[in-house]
Amino acid sequence: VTRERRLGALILAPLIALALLGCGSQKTGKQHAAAKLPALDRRAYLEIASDSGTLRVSVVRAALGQSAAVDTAAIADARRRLSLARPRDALLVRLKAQLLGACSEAISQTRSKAGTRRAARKALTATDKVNDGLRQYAARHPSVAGLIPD
Amino acid sequence: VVALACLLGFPAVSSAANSQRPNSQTQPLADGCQRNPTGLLSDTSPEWVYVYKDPKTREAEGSLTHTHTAGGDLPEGHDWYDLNSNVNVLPQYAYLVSTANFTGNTTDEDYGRLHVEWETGTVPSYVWPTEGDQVQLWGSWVWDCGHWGTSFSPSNPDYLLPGQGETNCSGCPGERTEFHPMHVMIVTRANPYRPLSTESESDAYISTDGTQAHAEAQCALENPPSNIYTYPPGYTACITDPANRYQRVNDRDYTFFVPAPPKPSSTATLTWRTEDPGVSVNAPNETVQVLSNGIQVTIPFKNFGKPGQTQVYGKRFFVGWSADPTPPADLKVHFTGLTVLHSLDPPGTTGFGTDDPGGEWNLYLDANGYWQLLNDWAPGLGFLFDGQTLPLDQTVDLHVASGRGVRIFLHGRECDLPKIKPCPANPGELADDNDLPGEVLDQFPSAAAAIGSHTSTADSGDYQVSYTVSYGP
Repeated sequence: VTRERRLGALILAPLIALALLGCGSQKTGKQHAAAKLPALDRRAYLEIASDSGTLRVSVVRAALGQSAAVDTAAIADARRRLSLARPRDALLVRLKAQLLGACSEAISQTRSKAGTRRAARKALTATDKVNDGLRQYAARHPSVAGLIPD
Repeated sequence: VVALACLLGFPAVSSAANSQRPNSQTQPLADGCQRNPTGLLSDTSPEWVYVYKDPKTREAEGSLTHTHTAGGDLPEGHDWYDLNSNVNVLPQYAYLVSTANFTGNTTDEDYGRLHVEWETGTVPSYVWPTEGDQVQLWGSWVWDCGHWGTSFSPSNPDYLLPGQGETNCSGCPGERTEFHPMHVMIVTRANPYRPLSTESESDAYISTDGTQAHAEAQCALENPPSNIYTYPPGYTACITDPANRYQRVNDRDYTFFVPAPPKPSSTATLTWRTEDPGVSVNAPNETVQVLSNGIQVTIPFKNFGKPGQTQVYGKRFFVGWSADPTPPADLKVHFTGLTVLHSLDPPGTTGFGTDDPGGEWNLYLDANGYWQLLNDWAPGLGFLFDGQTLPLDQTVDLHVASGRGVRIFLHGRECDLPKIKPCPANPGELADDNDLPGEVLDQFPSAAAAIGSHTSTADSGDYQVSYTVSYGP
């Protein structure tokens, strides 16, 4: 964590906390902070993260040579849900596009065993990159931690 | 570099320290939590890791409070919503309660208590506890890696900078410890509703079904994190294998005591009996030793059965006396109807979690420990509109011992999260959590005080339940 980021957080935090105190909601501060995220971005963050997980879960055993197949139905379902997300944040827009492409590629290259494994490894790498981007988004918008249910 | 090395693999502490209260600010990170919402959502960080990286099964005893099903759970880690409760542990088990369990509001259900969870699809309702029950539990002692801060606060850097791995934050409470999943539940009822005569009741349940929670903790242990942000692909592959949900229960025998109620006369002799709820699979027969003040039950599981074999044990034990001068009152609680005032998801609303028409609710009833998913009585709960009234027309028999009361508790969820049962799959909805329709809690100090017709409104104002209590024939 850079000194600048800590300093930024320390300056911003009291201002945001004061803003939250004025809202009078019954929610906890953490939930309230999450609710302050732009709604479309909040939904997109959740969708991209969970669909990244779906893609990863669907290909990982093929990528590691533990299975000959990927779960193309699950990937197609994730791609369908992801296509409905409408992020406004530029980073989320880019991550959505990257993940859509990775899903499509993982489904299309499954005709041979070697092709499946190659596509699975590529998809796994793609999810690593998407997750890196999501972590950047989370660092800029730490209230996403409030999106995790019990 | 030193901090990173500690996070990545060196043993956390010596085994001698594994029975010490863990520090929630530092130990969860050493044990494998990553404070990383992206990782939790994308199956690259575990929601649970073993405390001190020690998978040893732990035991706890105490009294329970605030038992309920989860309002929301993380879909990545659950097939069914969890059954949750909180144990006021006996002093010898106080070390199980981490430092963060003593932060936040003192009225929180888990403040100063050991929180325990197991999926409702795994735990049959006959053993679901209720307020004040005594328990003896065995389970996996884990960190709940999904929550590390209590509130949005300038003094809470782990909240402000998630995933950055702070270990020296000031005022950051950190993760809480819990049993999740449990392996064994022995529930001794404070106010048993089943016995027709004055009897004590202990319900036993043992299962190898560790659910996804066991898989995540075990897979995290076997596939250490690649860095402070993520676990390797081997972790994700591991948690997708259903075989890794198996938790061993035949590594020991389980012994517990079922106390008799007060002896009614000097000539009375102790009696005992069992009921079989019909859940046992590949389980040994128990042995019972009759003592002067109760029975000692041993379930000889050690080395019983085969490795990896599904094993489930379930039985109810009752202890009484040959004389019963003051038998329980026989109450009939007739539930007549349920009116939903606010469905929380009316048609025409297009916000998050409201894509499907109508509200989808799960409501649960707890009547002195009799648990019922009300959707089984009223399937209309799965498709609700504002102002809708659902007939229930169901009667529950409650036997209430002299000096005991009646407690009627309803709670539940409006389903917005995807995939977790008993909610519908919700493929068209996406929300950060479910809506909560609130609770009904009616408490009567005696059987006589409960007699009559009642209409109770949830504390949220979202629904009303009507029921009539009368004496049985």
